Amino acid sequence: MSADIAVDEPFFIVQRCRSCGNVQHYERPRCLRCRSADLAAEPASGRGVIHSFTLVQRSPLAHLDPPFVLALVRLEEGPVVMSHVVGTDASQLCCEQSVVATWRTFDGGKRLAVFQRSDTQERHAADTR
Amino acid sequence: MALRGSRGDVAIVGIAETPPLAPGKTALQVQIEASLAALGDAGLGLDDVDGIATAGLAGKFDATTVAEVLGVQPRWVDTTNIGGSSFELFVAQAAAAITYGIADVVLICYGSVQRSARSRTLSSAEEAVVPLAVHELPYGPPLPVAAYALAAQRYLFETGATREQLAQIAVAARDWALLNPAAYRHDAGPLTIDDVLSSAPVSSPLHVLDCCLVTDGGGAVVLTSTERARDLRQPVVTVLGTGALSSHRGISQMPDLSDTGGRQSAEQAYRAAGLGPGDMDVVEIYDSFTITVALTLEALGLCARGEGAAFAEDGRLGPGGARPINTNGGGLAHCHPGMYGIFLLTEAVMQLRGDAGARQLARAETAVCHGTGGYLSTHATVILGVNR
Repeated sequence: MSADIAVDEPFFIVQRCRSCGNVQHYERPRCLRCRSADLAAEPASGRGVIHSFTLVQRSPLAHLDPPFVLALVRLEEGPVVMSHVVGTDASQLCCEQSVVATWRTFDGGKRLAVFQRSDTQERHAADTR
Repeated sequence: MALRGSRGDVAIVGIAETPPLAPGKTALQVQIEASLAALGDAGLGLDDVDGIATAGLAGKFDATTVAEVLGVQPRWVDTTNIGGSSFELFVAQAAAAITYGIADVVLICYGSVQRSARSRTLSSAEEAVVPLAVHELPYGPPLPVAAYALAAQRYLFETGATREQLAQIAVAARDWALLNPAAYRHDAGPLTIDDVLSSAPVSSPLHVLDCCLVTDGGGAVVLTSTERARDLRQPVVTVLGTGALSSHRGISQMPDLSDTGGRQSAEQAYRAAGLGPGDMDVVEIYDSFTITVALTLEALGLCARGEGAAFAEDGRLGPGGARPINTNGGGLAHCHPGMYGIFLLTEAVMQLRGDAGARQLARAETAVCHGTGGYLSTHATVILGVNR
């Protein structure tokens, strides 16, 4: 697996409330917890855990062939995002496994921020040295 | 019917407008700005709002989308779109809700960017930029099943419940359909747990027989005053209490994947009726998927949190069981023409009138009907009683 380009668009941008510290996604006009307007956008680290996942057997999108693993990932900053888990068979996945973000590109230039298991990514990085 | 004691009892306390040109903004952004400004004008905050009405955004779930962006979970919503008069209608509906005590502070909002967007086909343009379309739809979830599957997978992980237990919910539904001549599966014979487990996978852990039917069908109910009902032909079935909650729009925004807004909705209804889960003779739960039933049993307080799937064991939910539910076969075995909620009401009324034939419950004086919409997104509970 090729290394991602160094200076890159963030996978996800979260909002941190400067009043109470709550972190949320997607961006809102106010803090969901304390209603403050003092919110700062920041790039998420890209690390998280699988909150839930499902192996999907049909796809409403022409460029996305089933089956694929749809997931809810809990970012290490706190919020949950919808995404995919790639690179691991669904039978090897479990809630609460650590994952890390990567880009998945499609023909026509579309790309999605998706996740792979952290231990898989480490193994691939080791293989390419 | 005139609202009793309502004249002068409901007031407009905050207002706002946004400029007639809003280049680069979406209709959603414009109405969010107006909403925050109107609350500021009233000296109220987001935490005061428990009702939201809007129309013209995406054509469905509009108030729920506005609620999700603002971070509010309203118990009262209205997304009725009847054109320009919708907002006057919203005032009338909101006033009735506030008078009746099912909302305290209602935000009515609207936004359009038809000039800047140079488009009169507003629904489709806005539908493409609501948060659901930006943050979830690009990942290609087959909806609604994928959202319910994500909830089911998390539920199994957190509770240790099994697919076999969820399958029991489908088995019970089929057993009731065998007693209901109007049910789509009336002649299909009994269903086994193995039948459910071995049906084709759709979105793990849900298989075809975990999912509601796809049929045609229609239903209607007519409501009037209890005073008037006494002069009509049928046993008088009254609305004892109601509750509702709009929790979120997209499944990624659900505050807790294994505890639904149905809990708050049911609590409102029980409180209004002065009754509890143990008082409910008839239970009609929207069964879009087996997981929906497990979560709703918990939300209705019919069993403890985390035990909804296990509760389905030993035929508890089926004919002759200790806690019968969905006596017509439900969406899993009776019918499901796209939206099922009306049938919860029609079946509950048949039971309360004593007209349910072979599936009649011996004791049927109170009924709870609970509908779930979207992706565990919206909830509403109606408690009915009969005066014999």
